Amino acid sequence: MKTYSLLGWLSLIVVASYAMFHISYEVEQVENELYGVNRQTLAEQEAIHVLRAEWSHVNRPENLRELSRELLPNLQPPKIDQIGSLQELPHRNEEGILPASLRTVARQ
Amino acid sequence: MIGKIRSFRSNHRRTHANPTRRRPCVPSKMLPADGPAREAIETGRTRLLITGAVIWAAFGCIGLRLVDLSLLHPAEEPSHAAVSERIETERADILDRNGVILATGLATASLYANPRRVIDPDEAGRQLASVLPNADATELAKRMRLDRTFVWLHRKLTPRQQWQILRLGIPGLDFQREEARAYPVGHPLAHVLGYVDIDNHGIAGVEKSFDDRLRGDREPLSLTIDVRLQHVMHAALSDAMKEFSAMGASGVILDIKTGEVLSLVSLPDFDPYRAGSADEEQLRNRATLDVYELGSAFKVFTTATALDTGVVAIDGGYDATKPIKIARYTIRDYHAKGRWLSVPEIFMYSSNIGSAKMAMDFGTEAQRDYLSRFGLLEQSPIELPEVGAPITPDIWRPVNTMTISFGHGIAVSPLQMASAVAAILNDGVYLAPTLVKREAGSPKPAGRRVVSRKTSDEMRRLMRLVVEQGTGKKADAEGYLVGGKTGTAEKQSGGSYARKKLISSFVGAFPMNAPRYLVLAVLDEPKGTKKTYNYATGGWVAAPVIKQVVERMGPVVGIAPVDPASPNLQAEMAVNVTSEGHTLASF
Repeated sequence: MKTYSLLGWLSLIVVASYAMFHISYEVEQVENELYGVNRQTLAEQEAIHVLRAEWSHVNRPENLRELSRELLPNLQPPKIDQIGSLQELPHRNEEGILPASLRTVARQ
Repeated sequence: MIGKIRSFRSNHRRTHANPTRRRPCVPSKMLPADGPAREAIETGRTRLLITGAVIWAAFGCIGLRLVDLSLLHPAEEPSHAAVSERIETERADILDRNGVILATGLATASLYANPRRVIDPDEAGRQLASVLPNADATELAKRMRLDRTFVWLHRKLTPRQQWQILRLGIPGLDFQREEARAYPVGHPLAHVLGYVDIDNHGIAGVEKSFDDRLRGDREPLSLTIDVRLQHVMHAALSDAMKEFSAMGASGVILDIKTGEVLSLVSLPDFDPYRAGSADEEQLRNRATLDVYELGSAFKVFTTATALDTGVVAIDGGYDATKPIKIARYTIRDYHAKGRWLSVPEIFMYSSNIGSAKMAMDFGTEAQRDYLSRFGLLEQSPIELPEVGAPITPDIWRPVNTMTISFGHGIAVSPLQMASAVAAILNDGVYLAPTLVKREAGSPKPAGRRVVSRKTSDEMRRLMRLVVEQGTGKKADAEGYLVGGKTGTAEKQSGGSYARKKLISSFVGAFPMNAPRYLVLAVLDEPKGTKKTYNYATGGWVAAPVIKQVVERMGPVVGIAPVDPASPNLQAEMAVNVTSEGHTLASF
């Protein structure tokens, strides 16, 4: 009887310590993975940060002016007669531009 | 290993003659009773016991340590997972009002050496000098010979330089991560943002005035500046400066309703990355630090004071037939009409005589009181370290009152001028100019009333009149109801005024039926061109800048152009220019 209980305890110890080590190693592995992911997140954030600064640099009005001068030679600053309100737009004939199925929707 | 020890131990048990043991393995009769053999066995047994105990202890220790390392230790050590999930920057970013990045920190590498580990300083110095710009090989070698463990060789390398140094493979060198301040928008904002020293301490502009805030708080600082408007102002002023060969220029755009500075330009400017090699002319912020006698633009204040104190009504006027002689000065009109002038006429033709007479009517005390209310007698409260104090007369004599009425004998910064005119147009309520954007939902800044609503309304109409019919026609951006006042002052040099050295300015606002934005442009020593018939006055050189800026910014800030001929607007802007009964009454 005593032998059995001893064996029982022993096997319990073995199982428990195995489980403990196993979990411990698993945690370490997952932690390493998390570390990697975190490092990658940081690296990506850093890259995004640099890209945002770069965007701001490339997108500065001075640069855009030069680019539009070079690439869009016909684009001029807007004149005031080019600016209007929605009310000034003439109503279009609905019949001609919308299919019948949408006309009721458009009317609503 | 363990098996061996077991067998060792069982051997030892076998030789152990213990009568109480249940199953003695070896019959005791095989053991010699005593004598030298017995003694030898005893010695062997003791030795084995000690060896066994030592080995047990060692394995016990290893086992315990194993448990300790694998199970207990990770909890104590800083965990790998506890890496911060946001990149840390030394200084907070600076943004414009729409969130565009104006200043940020970028990670760079700085090169240092551990001189004790550098094998051949001379060779290392020679190699480094070939990679680093402006580096002196002997100087580098000297530093690498110092008896220290750390010495900077070059701060803030470019990625390319870092790569080249890595490729050299010099032992004893290493890199330290450092933050370099970057200004993506560059020189148009150089004066507003300022710059930092090599250790990232702010030493000018917003970088200096908000140094603690930027170092302490990671949240970005939002300014009131709009990059687009800054560009519009910067471009218009640069063009005007070039066209009229001016020495310098400055410009301000204010939101009249909030006191926010949307644009603040000073030219010539500098590259924020090379502030060290910029000269004093470039570094000086002309919009806030410099003070100028701004000339006729001051008639805005003189007229507002006269109307507000009630010494003259808007339909009143003064005789401007003859120049005024006072002390050694003669006050005459630039656009002389030689007759009685109504208040609107005095303002739109910029009559010095009329303004001086107005000032004499309300007197020195009222003048000082009102100028002080407009914030013109003390430094501008703007959040910049570079703010100039106005220059005012030590003793305020009647002659000073007269000259100040048309902007001579008092010098203020362009920004002060802008806020003061904005106050008159903001229903008469002064708001301190600010560069920091208010948080959404925070209460509107409380201003202080400086002139009555009625005066503000009359000034609004008078300023529109100047652009419609007076000296400021060139500022009339069609559809935006621009109003304003020209200013031309001769620069003082050595105690007397220089005829050819002018400060030409224009202070404008739009739309004048409900003033929302104030635009000020000042040109320092512009020269007239053929196109301007050699005139270099405010109306000829600065007014076109205002027109250009307003035309560009109107669509950006969402002000819809209107038809100035519409009856509603005509009624809103109506001014009775010539008062009947008085016209030519004196002569």
